[in-house]
Formats: sequence, structure tokens, C-alpha cells
Amino acid sequence: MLWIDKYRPKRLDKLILNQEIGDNLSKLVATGDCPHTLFYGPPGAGKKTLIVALLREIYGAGAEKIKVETKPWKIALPSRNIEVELTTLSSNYHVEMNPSDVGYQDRYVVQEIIKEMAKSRPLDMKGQRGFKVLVLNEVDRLSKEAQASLRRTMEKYSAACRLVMSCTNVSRVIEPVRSRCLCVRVAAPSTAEVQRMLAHVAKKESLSLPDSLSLRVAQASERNLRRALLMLETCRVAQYPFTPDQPVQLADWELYIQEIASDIMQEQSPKRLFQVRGKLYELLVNCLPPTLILRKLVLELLKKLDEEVQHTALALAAQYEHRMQEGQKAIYHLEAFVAKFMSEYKQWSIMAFG
Amino acid sequence: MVQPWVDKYRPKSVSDVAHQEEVVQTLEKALEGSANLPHLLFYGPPGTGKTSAALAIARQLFGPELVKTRVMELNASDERGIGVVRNKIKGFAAGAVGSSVAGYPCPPFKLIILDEADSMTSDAQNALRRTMEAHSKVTRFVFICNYVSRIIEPLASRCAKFRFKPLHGNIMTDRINHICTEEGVTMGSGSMETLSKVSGGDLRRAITTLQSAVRLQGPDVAPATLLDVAGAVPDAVTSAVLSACRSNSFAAIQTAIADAIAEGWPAQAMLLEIQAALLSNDDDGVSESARAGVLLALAAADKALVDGADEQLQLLNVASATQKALCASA
Amino acid sequence: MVKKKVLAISLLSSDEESGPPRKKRIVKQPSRAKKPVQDTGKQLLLRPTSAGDSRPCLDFTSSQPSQTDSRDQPKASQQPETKPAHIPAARGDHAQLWTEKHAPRTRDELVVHKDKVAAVASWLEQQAAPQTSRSSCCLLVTGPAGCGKTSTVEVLAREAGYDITEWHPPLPTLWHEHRYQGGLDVPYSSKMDEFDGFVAHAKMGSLHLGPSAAAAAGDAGTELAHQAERSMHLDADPAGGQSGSRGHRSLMLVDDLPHAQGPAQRKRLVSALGTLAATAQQPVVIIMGESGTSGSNKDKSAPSGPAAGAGAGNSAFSLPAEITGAVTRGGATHIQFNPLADTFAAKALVAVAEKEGLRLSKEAAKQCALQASGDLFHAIESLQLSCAGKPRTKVQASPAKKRGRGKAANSAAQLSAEDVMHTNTRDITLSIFRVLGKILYNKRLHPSSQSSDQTQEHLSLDESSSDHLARGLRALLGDVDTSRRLPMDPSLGRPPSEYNPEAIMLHGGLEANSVAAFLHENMLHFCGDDAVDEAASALHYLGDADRLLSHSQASPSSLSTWDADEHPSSSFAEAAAGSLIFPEYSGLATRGGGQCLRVGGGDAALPQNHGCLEPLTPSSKPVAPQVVAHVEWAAA
Repeated sequence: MLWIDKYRPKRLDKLILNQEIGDNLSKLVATGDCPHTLFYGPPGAGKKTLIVALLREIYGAGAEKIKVETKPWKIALPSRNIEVELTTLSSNYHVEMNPSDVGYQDRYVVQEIIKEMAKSRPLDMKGQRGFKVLVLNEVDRLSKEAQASLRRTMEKYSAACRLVMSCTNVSRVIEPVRSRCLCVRVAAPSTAEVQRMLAHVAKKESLSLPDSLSLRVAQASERNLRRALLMLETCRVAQYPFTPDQPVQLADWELYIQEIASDIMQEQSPKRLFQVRGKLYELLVNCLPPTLILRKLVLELLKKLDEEVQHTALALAAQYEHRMQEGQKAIYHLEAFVAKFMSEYKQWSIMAFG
Repeated sequence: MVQPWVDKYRPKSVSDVAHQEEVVQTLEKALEGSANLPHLLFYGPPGTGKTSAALAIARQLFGPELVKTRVMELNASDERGIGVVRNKIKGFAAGAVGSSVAGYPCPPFKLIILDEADSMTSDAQNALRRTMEAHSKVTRFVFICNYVSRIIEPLASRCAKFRFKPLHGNIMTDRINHICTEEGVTMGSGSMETLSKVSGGDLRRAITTLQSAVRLQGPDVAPATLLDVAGAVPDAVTSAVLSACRSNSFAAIQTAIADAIAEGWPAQAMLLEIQAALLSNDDDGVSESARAGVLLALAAADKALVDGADEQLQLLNVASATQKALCASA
Repeated sequence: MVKKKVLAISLLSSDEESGPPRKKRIVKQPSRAKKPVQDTGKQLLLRPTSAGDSRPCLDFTSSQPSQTDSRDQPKASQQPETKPAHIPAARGDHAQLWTEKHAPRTRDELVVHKDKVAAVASWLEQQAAPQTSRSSCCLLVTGPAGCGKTSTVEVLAREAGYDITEWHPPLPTLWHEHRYQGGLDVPYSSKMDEFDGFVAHAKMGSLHLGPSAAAAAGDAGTELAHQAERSMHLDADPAGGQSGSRGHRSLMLVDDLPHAQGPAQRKRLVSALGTLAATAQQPVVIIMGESGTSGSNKDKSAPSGPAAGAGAGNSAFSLPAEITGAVTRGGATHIQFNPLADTFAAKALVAVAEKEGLRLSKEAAKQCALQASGDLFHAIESLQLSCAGKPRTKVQASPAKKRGRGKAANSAAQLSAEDVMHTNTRDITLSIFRVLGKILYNKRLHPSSQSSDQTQEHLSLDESSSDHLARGLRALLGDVDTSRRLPMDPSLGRPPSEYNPEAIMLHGGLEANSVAAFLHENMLHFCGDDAVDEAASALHYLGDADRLLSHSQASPSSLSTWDADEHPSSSFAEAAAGSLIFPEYSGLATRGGGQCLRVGGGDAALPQNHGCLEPLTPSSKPVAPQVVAHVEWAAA
């Protein structure tokens, strides 16, 4: 079991980070009032932990018995029938899914599942809750149509089903949905907090963790607790006992992107662009989100640039990332960014150095 | 689930609708008279009382009992196909008008309230026009929308139009205070200001925000909770970003933005805050054209965010544009 | 039946002027729905353009007069008072198709390369020699459509004194037609069955079984079958009449191979042909059209890719190869014809025009030949069409027409070229590699030969000739002012492209998406070492294409009736910004409403595919001979 799962707090009162939110949530549950909830915040901030703990708070230990199920959903539309295969995690009390997995048919899936849940509604007796919870992850990746239909569904079936949603980019959730939810911001832990968590885990694992190493891990994690823990675990595998100057292993893809960045800086030519294309494909094939690739790449480039060019590079990145969202073939836009950057950088270096 | 305060504290009669004097006057006159209403079209920004007014009319006309059979509320944006519009309305309009209830005018027609009519397709609107004509003897329509320009001309011309004005701060404060006393909520210092700022003239938003805050943190409402719940950004964050922009160091804005993102502040709200900050102080020596340039960058970033672009990159880009503008003119 | 046919065609010919080939299909549709029997007639009518046989077969001729009728028909329908006697008069002069009227009669008239003529002639000589000396009496002639395969064989055979007996597939009995006529107890036999029967007869060695075999096979008792039978006899007759005295050497001609679909059928066809080649007792000539994908004659190349026309071997790529293999294994001689060179074709066209008393400018002839892309049959067809078009509407009597035509030709030679442009280009399908090659190499017209005036001319020609879609849209949207061009960066100024990118896309018949993907994959190899800027803008345009395509795909997928208000305007604005080089699209873009989003959105992306290559060429020479197009080049 990965440390990150092993030491995930199971209950709201056992939270180490986000204690305040935890307290508020348990107050909410205690009053019996449980509105639709939307957790938003950067990755690795603890949204998932909060959701799991919240479920446990509402339903007790029963919510932890989870089965994974992949089943086709047959959905009858007025004009045709569609069949969508979807993987869900479910307990007796809740269903968890990633609706964005099913692409543009997401709206039907969401509606259908909620209807299904409403049918098999648990009875409000023996202290049980009269509703089920539908956990929707990455709700920001739902299409606008799906979100619009979600809004109606939220009202219509609110007696039978509550939604608990999570997303990183709250701008992408439409306002009507946001206004029907209790929005909870989950901030990423500060570097100090990450260090505290690392120390906590190290103590539980009975490892001795030098401060300087934990600091470097925390910094490299960029305030992402999940990454920090994974890194620490990698370090543990690489070398134990820890030494203060032990290298912090970055993820392969990060190293790869660093490599691409230095490739780009070395030479600006179509030939080099072609090589970069190969590497970008490599990253995409490994299911790395293109947005992440582009962001990481530009951040790496920024490190190597003069201030003057930094602005340009950033503007380009913003532009092409946006275009990428509008299109479907990420590689075009990634490559266009690289090419444009090469072109700009070349012009600048000719100007600067003659 | 607790009843939403928005519904709980909806105005019960037309005269209770806040701050829409002209509208209220005209409507009341119409209601007092023969109670023979024309079709109505309410438009205006969200949270200004359009839906409330429509519901109040219905209640005043038919009384609480008859409302169920005589009034249909359709949320056009959810079920917006032509077929839906036609069939639902046809089915509803076809039923006979039953007996009246004493104490209410109970005019011999049914009322159909179409909320968010502007998000109907124009095909559906056209279909609606036929339906309106076909059933004009027994039905009256109330269209509610934000943008009157999205309603096709033939529909709009068949209606009496009413524009709802955005609410001023003090009117909103009255309402909120009323709710607070009813619900036993105490507002911390500065909470009211924060609330009206966060809601921007949208009373519904103010009430939902308040309710969420109370749910989350109990009856003592602090400004920070309101901000959190509304997804708004505290001034400290914005000013940190702006001071980074003034610093003429790229690394500074990078850290500032990275922090803001890690704290989970919503980017769109950040854009609004940056815009407000930029417009509010005139004496920072920034030229008008530079300011305009930043505003352009803000607008572009907002569009990009709506399209689903990455928050960090967009914010960084805006910050970089701001920095260039500020430092060039400084 | 004939009347209906005429009606359909009259629609057709009234479209001649603007007539894109696709209109024919549109005409065909409604009548099919009404009466299935109609089908066969229609198919035949349409065949010459698509199949491009070098020689009209007689069953085609039987329906041909009505085609000429049709030229008068629109007139007749406009003025119902016109005496019907008028029509036969016209028929006397013009009834014949030029392709037939001016078919080569002598060896000298053939426009085929001398070597090929000699090869065929020598084979014929060989056949005339005593039986012992030859291994097989089968000749396989292959080549693209309209390069004179059949003409050559026929002319030479006639000169050598053969009787030609042709195996025609009897008129096809379509399956649903068969069902329609179910009451007439017509036995259903596929073309393949009939062909097998024919092969069996050929083995027997009796010449005269040829026609009767077909007749027996096609003996349907229906009118159609009779027609087929008649055509069979007619085929044999003239040849027999001529050479009857010279001792009845006979030659069997298999021109139109039965259509084979699916592996089983193909196998059967191949084996039948193999048997035929191995066992035939008299000389048999099998003519097989390689309906390859052909671009302009210049870079004509290997016959690969899915077939465009309805040539014999079009059922699959490898079928011609399979057949060639089987037949040559059977011991047959194989002669391959190349497509006609443009110059040859042009010469032939001029000659035909002369015979008709028309003056055809060299340029026009060349243009016509170019469009036909090595298919002389088609070239003559379209020449006839274009010459029958305009003057016809003004001048009624046929001699006057000629004069009028002559005058027109005198006054403006250019005009005739333009007329030719208006005729339907052969519906060529370009293979993906050729599409890419054309775009990526992006050849330019020679700058020295271009004054700015001519440039303009060329552009307008380009538009009028092949960009039917754009024209159609323009017509749809009202008069978009195409003369109002956006200013172009003078540094990007260069001679106009040799090809019209829209036309290429049109002929490519490929999805914009896949073209974009292929371009993306290949374009970097075409950038010079310094051309990062160009690569960047090219990629930018590809990105635009992607965005637009995503928009156009999103619309059908979202099932709710989709508010077309916002999306088109934004995507069209993008199109306008992206396709500066193609101002006509920006014109469309501003006017485009929700309806033409799918057309416009999809297509507006296309110029960008091209546009992306525009900046490539100035600083970067095409470097790497990477793409298969190049290989094809070399092969040609």
C-alpha cells in the first residue's frame, strides 16, 4: 500500500490538514443538513480525503466498503438508444464516478445514474439517511450541457440524492451549479505543512528524516502533498537511511520535459522541432495531460530565459494553451507553441547578440 | 434538506418586490383592474426579482390553492427542445379552467411562467409563438430572461416588457437584515459590505451566499467565510499579486501567482479583483492606454478561462501584461 | 421510358454551363426513386463520363440519340409551340457523339505511342501465322481509361482483316429490377455467370458462339435483353462486312470485364480470365482499364489507390494486378498503354474540332486535354459539350451555330478556353499522397511569364473552373464581392500557386481532419533549416484548422437543438483571421450564419491547410524527397 493511501485520514476528526473545514463539515452533518457540496482547490490539497471522510461521517463505516464496477449503461433517448460503459466506485450509500470519462455523452450518463439512484433510494429509518450521495470527480471537465442538466437534476432529485463534487478549476463550473452548492475551497498545504506531514509519516514508518531532505522534498512537490509523499517514498526505495544531501527524484516525465526544454534552447530549427515532436508524442502517449505538459514546459523554459523573453514565452504559452482547449488535437498546439517560441527566441537572440 | 432561503423569503406579493417601483406600480394597477393581463416579458440582470415578481403575480391572481393547477413554471434552459415546449404547454393549456376561489380575482386563464427564456433556441421560440396564438384565449405567458435581445422579435412584440434594475446596496442590506433577524444570524463587522460586494447587486446570490456561510460556519458570519463560500478572493491576495506586478521582477509574479493558485483561489474571481484594483486607484501614474491594455488582457484571459484554459498560465499571462504596463509607465 | 430519360437529361443539359459533374447525380436521384427500371438506362447514359471507355459501345449508342435530343429539349420546353419536327432535323447532324464520329479509322489517326501500336500490330501478325507457333492466343491490353486501348486494337484488327466479335456484358439485370419484374419469370443471372458462360464457349473454339453465348446468357425475353443481343450482333456485323471476303479470321474482344465485388467474385473472375487465356482457341484480346487515381497528366503515375471511374478493374487495388498475373500465367501477351500525353491529346482535339468546322485555340485544346488528364475520350466528350453549350442557346439552326461558334472563337480565343474550363472536369480522385505532394511541393507558376494582369486572370480562372463549392456557396449567400481582397503582405507576394488548393481538397475527397494530420506529419521535412518562423505559422494554421474542425464536429453531436448564435460567429471570426490568404472565405465568413456552419466551418479550415504552406516556400526549398508523392513523380 502506498503511504499516501495508508496514511490518508479516514475521519473528519482525524484530519491533520484542513481541520477547520473538517470541523465545519462535521457540524453540518450533525445538524442533519447536508447540502450539495463542491470542493475546489489545486491537486494534492486534500479534496479526495475530505470527501471520503465526509462520507464516512454521514454513513459510518459502511461507506468504506467499496466495490468497483464497470457496467454499460443503456440510455434511451427520444431519438435513439446509446450505451455507455462507465466505471463506478460504489458502496451501499454512494456512487463515485468520473463523468468526464464518457466524453460528450456525459450529460445522459449523469442524469441516468442519478435517476437510477433515486429509484433505489434507501429508506429513512433506523438512523439511516434518506438519500444517497453521488460523488462526481473532475466536474470541471463536464461539458456545459451536462452541467446545465446537472443543475435541474440537483433540484429535482435533491430528496433522493446529494451531489458531492470536486474540481480544480472552478471557473469551468457554471454559475448556476456553483450557486446551488456549498462551495468549499481547499487550499494546498504550505511548504511548512507539507514538511510537517512528511515528518508525521516518517515517524509512523519509524524512519529518521533529515530536515534538509524533507525541506527539499517539500519544495520540489510544489505544495502538492500527494507528490511529496510519493517522492519521499521513492527516496526511501532509492536509499535508506536517508542522507541530507540525497537527490530528490523527480518524476520521469518532469525530467523528460526538462530535456525538451534544453533541446529547444540549444537549437531552433525545423529539424530540432521534429525531434521535439517525437518527445512530445512520447509524453502524450503516456497519458500525460497536454495542459500539464505545456505548463511544465513553459515553466522550465522560463527558468532559462532572460526577463525580456519571459513575458513573450508566457504570452505564447497562454495563447496556445487556450487554443488547445478549443481544438482536439493537442499535438498541433503543443508543437505550434514550440515552433513559435523557437522563432521568437531566435529573433531575440539575433537582436541581442547579433 | 432545509428550504432555501431564496424561496423562503421570496416576496409574497408584487408590492413586496424590492426596488422596482415602476414595474410594481404598473403591475399592481393591472392586477387591481379587470385582472386581464397581457403577456409579460421581464428582463434584467440576475437576482433583481423577476422570478419573484412572476410568482407573486401568480399568487395574487389565483391564491395559494389554485396556483398549483393554474400556473406552470417552466425552466426553459433545462428542457428546451421544440417538442418539449409544444407538448408541455399544449397539454397544460388544453385543460379546462376550473372554478374560482373567493378572495382572489381568478381570471379565466392559466399562467405559464417561462424562466430563462433567452436560452431557448430560436426554433423553440418560433414554435412558442404559434402556441401562444393558438391558446391565447386561455393562457397568459410570462417570459423571464436576462437579455431581451435574445428573445425573437415576434415573441417580444406580443408582450408587455418590464425592465428590472440592478439593486442598490442599501436595498439589499434591508433584505439581508430582515433575513438575519428572522434566522437569528449575526453579521460580523464588515460582513455586510463584503456580502454586497461579493453579490454585485444580485440579491439571490447574496441570500444563497449568506445561507451557505451560515451552514458552514454557524450563525456568526465573518467576512472571510462569505468570501470563501462565494468563491471570491480576499484583498490581500490581490494586492500581493499587484505588488508583485509593480516589482518589475518576473520571478516575483511567478511566485505570487503560484501561491494564489496553490491556495485555490478561483482565477476568474482573481481577474475581477485585479480589474477592480486597477480601476479604483487613479493616482498610481499608470497611463490610460496602459490601463486599457491590461483590461484587454483581462478580458482575453476571462474568455480563455471560460473555454477551459489553464488557470495558472492565464493568470501568469495577465500578471505579466500588468507588470509590463505598470512598469513601463512608472 | 425514352421520354423520361429525355426529361432527366434536359435538366442535365440546362445545367451544362455551370455544370459541375455532381449535378448529374442529383438529377439521377429522383427518377430512380420513381421507377427502378429507369436505372439501367441512366447508368448507361452516365457511363461514358465516368467509365471513360475509349470507344462507345453500342448499347450506349442506342440511348445516345436521346442525349442529343435533349439539347433541344430545354428549348422545346421553354417554347412549347416549337414544332417537334425540329428535333429530328437537329438529330441528323448531331446525333453522333464526336467520340464515335471521329473515332480513328486508320493507323495514322491513332494518337497512341508508335511502339504500342507496333506491339499490338505484331501480335496480330503473330496470330495470323500458323497455329503451331504461338503459345497462347490471348492478349492483355492494360492502361488507363481513354488512352486508346480499344481503338488501337480495333483499328489494327480491322486493318489486319479480322472479324471482331465483342463480348459485351448483356445489359445488367439489376437485382431489384429483377424482383420488380418478378412476374415475367426472368431467370436472374449475374454478369459473372454470363462471363463464365462466355469463357466456356470460347474454349469450344466456335467463333459464332460468341454472340449467341451472350444472347443465350442474357436471354431474358425482356426488352433490355433484346437490346443487348442486338448490340452484340451489331458489333460483329460491320467488321464482318468489311473483312468477310478475307477468310474470316476472327478476333474476340473482351472489353468490359464483369464487375467483381468481394473476394469470392474476384477469385472467380481471375480464374475465369486465367482459363480464357490458357485455353482460348482463337485470338482473344482482353482490355482492362486501369482506373488508377490520376492527377494531371504530368505527374501521372502508378495506378494505385481506389478507383475513380467505373472502369473494369476498379473493385479493388490489387484486382488488376491479380488479373494481369493470372492472364500472363496463362501465357498471354501483355501490353501496357500509358496515359496520353497532353500534347497528343490536344492535337487530337484540334483535329476533331477541325472536322467539326470549329476553331479551337491551342490553349483551349491544351486546357481541355489537361482537364481530361490523359483521357481522350473524356476530352472529346467535354469538347462536344462545351461547343454545344453557349451558342446553342442563342442560335437555333445548327449551321448557324457553327458559324457563330467560329466567330466567337475568332473574336476571342481566350473565351473558348474559358468555355472549356466550364465543362465538367473528370471527377478525379487524388490519392492522399498526391494531395499532400501537391500542397507540400506547392509549385508556382513561373513568375516571368506572369504580368499582374494575368495573375488576376489565373486566379479567377482557378475559381471559376473547379471551385464549385465556393461558387455554390457564393450563389447561396448572394453576391459576395470577391474583388474586394484583403491587402496582402507584399513580402509574401509570389507567383500564384499552380494548383488551386480548394480544388485539390475537392478532388481528394478526404476528410479535412486526416489531411491536416498528414500535413502535420510531413510538413517539417519540407522546411528549410532556417525556416522556424514558417514552421511556426504553419503549425499555427494547423491549430486553427483543428479548432474549426472541432467546432463543426461538436454541432451534430450535441443533440439538443443547439443555439447557433454564438459559436459560428466566433469560429468564423477565427476563420477570417486565419485565412488572410483566401479572401473569398473571409467574405463568406462574415456572412455565414448558423446554417452553413458545417459547410463553412469545415471548409474554411481547408484554405488554412493550404495557407499554412504558403509561408513555407519563400525561404525554404523543398528539401527532402521524403513523401511517396516524390516516388510517384519519379515513376511517372
